[in-house]
Amino acid sequence: MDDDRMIRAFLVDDAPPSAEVVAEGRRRLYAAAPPARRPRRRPAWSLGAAGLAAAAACAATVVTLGGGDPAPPGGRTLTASQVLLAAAHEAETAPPGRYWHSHVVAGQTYRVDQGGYAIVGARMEIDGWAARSPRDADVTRSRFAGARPQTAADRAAWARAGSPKTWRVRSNGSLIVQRAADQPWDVRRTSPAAKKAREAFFADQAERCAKTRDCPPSEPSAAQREAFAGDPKALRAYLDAATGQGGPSGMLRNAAGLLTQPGSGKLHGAVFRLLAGLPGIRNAGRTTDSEGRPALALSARDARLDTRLLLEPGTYRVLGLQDVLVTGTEGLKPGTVYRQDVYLKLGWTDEAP
Amino acid sequence: MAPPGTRRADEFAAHYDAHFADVHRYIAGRLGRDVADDIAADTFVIALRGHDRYDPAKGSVRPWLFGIATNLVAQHRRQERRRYRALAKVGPDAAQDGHEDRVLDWVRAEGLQPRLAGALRALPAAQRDVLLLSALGELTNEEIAAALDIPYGTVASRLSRARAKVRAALGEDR
Repeated sequence: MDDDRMIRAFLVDDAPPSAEVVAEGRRRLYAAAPPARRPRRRPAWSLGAAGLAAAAACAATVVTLGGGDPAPPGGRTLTASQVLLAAAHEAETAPPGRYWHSHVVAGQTYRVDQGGYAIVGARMEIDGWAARSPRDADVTRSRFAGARPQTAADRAAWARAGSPKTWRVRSNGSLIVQRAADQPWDVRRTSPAAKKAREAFFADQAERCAKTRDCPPSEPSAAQREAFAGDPKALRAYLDAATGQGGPSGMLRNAAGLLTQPGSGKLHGAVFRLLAGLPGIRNAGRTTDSEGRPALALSARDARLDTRLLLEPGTYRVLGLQDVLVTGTEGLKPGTVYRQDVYLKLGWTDEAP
Repeated sequence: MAPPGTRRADEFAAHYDAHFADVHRYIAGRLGRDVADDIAADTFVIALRGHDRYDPAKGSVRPWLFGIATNLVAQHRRQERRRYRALAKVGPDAAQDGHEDRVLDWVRAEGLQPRLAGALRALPAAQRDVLLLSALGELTNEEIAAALDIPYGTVASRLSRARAKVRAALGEDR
């Protein structure tokens, strides 16, 4: 409709909301507790805990001993697939715990024109404890952690520029402010009752969806994810199509999504095994992550970005996911880590929040 | 950039990912970008809290979200009127115009901004809601009916009246 187009062009500029606005909205969503005290007739969606109660159907993992870090034969570098098979073995033999603990800091790199250095900002930090048992509460703490210069060289340039504590940087065409100060934590506890209500709500929604074919966009449930463990074809289709443009980098990214959600060792092992059989993933060797931790990097690149899954040497736990610039953008040089999810903690634990 | 832990954390986050940019654009078109950041976020928080009023029989999640957004916009009528007054003087920054700039060029070249802005400002709220859900939200008539909880026929008649007024203001005889 021509009138509509004209009105749209008149009122709207085409820039989508910036990454910060999107992240802030999501943070507020997570912070939104269901109304307190008011008794509810219907189940509450309570958001927050990273993930649904982890796989009630957490398929029993067969515990075998041994394995570990295979030594590089003759000192040669391992192929990606050797690393991934070793990771699969480790995942399969890792014992489950009481909580799936995922403490992650996401971040986006910006160029600061005044002083010519890079900062990592929009650092959404989520410390989530998802209980394996429906009788334990889930706990999620989240905040925006302060922005900071990216590398040692950036830190030096920042100091030369007078160590500013706020920055104006360009994001999707508009200037936004990033601050060095951490924002306060937002803490949410999802009680067993609220978790049960949430499950009931989703079950209700799934039932309606089946009846009315009006289905909200949905991520696979914990049980559906677990089913991937025994169905490599379905797993592959999911990795290929879940989000993004597919291809090795899209699959690596979706695989990281599964590896960082609560799941059985069998599932995580299956994900590593599937990656091991994919062309287009290479071993980029040893590197150091933004926390200074040594890491093994598995890489899949497209024309613009080199997507890297970082694993801890020896244990093959996921340390992070990075997008490294292949071509410069927004004043940032090729080789810059452009986006990253840094996992400070990830995996099953018997510690409690 | 989305922390994978959250993106997959919950089904509602998937609604957020799927619709946030569109809801934001709708609100930004009516109230301006700065205000939109907040109100678009509020829309989803309210949706999350009020899920018990979500009736799948009335349509998908999308119109439901736009209905909430429209209610929020209604609380900022003065801001909306201010925006149209400002737009009567200048259009959005030319540098940010995208693929639809030819239409906008035409509006500008003809000096029609003040008239278009004035027409939008003068519309009764009920007609403006329907018109902008269509133009900015790109909702179908059925979706608008679901969003505002009004009959389909009412949507069609409000829409045609609103469009007629806009055309009249632009002095078009189409």
